Amino acid sequence: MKREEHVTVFVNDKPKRLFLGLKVKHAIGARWTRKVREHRALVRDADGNRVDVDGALYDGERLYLAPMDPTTFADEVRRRAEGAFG
Amino acid sequence: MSKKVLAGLIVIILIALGACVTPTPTAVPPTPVPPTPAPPPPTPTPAGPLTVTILHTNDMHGAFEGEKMKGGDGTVFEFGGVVNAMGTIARLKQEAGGRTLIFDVGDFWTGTFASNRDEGKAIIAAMNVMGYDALAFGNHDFDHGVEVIKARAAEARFPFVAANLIEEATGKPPAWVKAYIIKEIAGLRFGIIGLTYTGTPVISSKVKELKPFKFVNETTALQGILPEVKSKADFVLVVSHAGLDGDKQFAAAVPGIDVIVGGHTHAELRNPTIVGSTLILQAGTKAQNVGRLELKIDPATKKIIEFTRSNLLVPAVSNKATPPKEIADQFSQLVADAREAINRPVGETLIDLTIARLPDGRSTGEYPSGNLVVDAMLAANQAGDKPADFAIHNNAGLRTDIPKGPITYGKLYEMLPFDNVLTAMDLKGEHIKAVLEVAASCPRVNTLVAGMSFVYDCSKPSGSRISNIMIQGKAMDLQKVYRVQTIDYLSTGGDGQVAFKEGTNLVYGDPVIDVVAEYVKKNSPINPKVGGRIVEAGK
Repeated sequence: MKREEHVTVFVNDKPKRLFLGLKVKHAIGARWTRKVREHRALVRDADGNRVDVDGALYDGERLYLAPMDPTTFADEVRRRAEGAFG
Repeated sequence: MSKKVLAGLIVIILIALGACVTPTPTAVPPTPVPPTPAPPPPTPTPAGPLTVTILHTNDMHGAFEGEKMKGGDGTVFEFGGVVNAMGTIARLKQEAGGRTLIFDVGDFWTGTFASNRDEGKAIIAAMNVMGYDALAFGNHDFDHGVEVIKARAAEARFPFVAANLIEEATGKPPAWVKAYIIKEIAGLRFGIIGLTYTGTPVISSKVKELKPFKFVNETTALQGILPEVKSKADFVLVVSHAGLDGDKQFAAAVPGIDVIVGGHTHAELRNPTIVGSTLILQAGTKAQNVGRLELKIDPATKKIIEFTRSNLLVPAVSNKATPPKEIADQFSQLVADAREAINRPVGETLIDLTIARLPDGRSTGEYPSGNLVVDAMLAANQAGDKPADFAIHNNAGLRTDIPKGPITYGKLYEMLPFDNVLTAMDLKGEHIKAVLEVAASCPRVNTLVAGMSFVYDCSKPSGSRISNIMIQGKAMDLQKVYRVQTIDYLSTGGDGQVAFKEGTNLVYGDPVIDVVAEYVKKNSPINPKVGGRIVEAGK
């Protein structure tokens, strides 16, 4: 059976049809990708999990973009690390 | 020290760690790992509940170094990177008291200049030091070909696992792969099944090399192997590069899996995703986190009585990690070598590789560096079974000039900073014309072509500015399907090029920068010619 060549993903509930093998960065576009890489924005999936811009897309995936502050992000990472090790 | 004494010592160490390896299934050929000592006698089962800790990484993508971060109080630290991840594992392993299982879920080495040069050797060496138990490889682990991944499997002191990779010729997994392994910890037997991504032959840049292999559907593979594994194990763990969606699907379709350790979709699952009675884990990417799941087990009933329900991911940060010195030193040297190599010439240009620009600064039409890039794309011959008829790249993807003289990888990266990869597709003539019409946004012509020429006329209205399209010296037929070599960005419809979305039979290739570097190396000194490809009407 030939594999479907496209996936449909939803970015902030807006559908986007893309080729299989493309990544989150392709779905959200260059401007948002730059923001996410700089931790000025965050991508989450439908369950609220943080998703990286180089992650693989899958059919039906729902992605949500939200603003973020780089310092807040850094503090949150540090807090989690301290929580893990005490 | 005599061999007998040495073997005895190894046995004592294994008992102390509470772990041993039982023989793997006979149907699967052995993986070339160093010989293991004779199995120790059965470990006595403790009376009370027992905690076994699963530590895991996935999609590290060759991130040797972490990212510099600054907190609100001015504290500076590094987040992620293989060295910090290994240092985090070292601490977590110590805390767990030796009752650990450590997995990597693939796509471990491609993605950075330093790691691509090393082809995963250093990461495997680090995993050997840390005592990884198994690795389920991903689609990107084939990026430099099958021989490279085979070589890494041979160097690993742990097996590469995939129950769904079958050699067409034999109907069995390749010799360097095990379908599953059984690990024993304190009398408890863990069956560990590997799965790789079934879409690999569609999305890999090494599609031709993968033809001898069959990538079996995950559910089918699991249904086939699970009874055998369950007959030998008390618990079933699946190490899977199928992606979160794939993991959820087979968890629902195949009952009896205790834990799925996942990857591919780069999701940070801070709490386990639960499907039926199966826990699904995934630890993000770039070695930013180490996943940690503690399973509290009743050894009498061999049931999981509790598990970690939150805060599964431990950030790999430099101020908490304690990497073994040999690992820190090795990666530090590799990074230093890469920094030196990036400024080493890969070739030479006899002319200035300039970009033609409009008075407002936007790049346009054809020019030396642009023609170099599309010539390299076409020459790379990475369009799949059929060679590409022509290559096309957007103008906006090139950013800086390279002066006459030596060309370094670093300079090429400044010129092509967008990490695009080759993407080939079949496209009908009428869609190719539509692409060129969009590119002729006048006065700018936002395209670069090789193997093709056309005439544009800015005096005509948008949508009717392109004429005389020639492909490989012949007039383009609007109804004919051509093989086009382009880039991933344009395949998404980037720059308004929606006609690329009509493409079919997509094949991905190497990163554009690597293709151009290779072309420069092979053809140096280069002297790209300009003229006759993108022609203004009446000129």
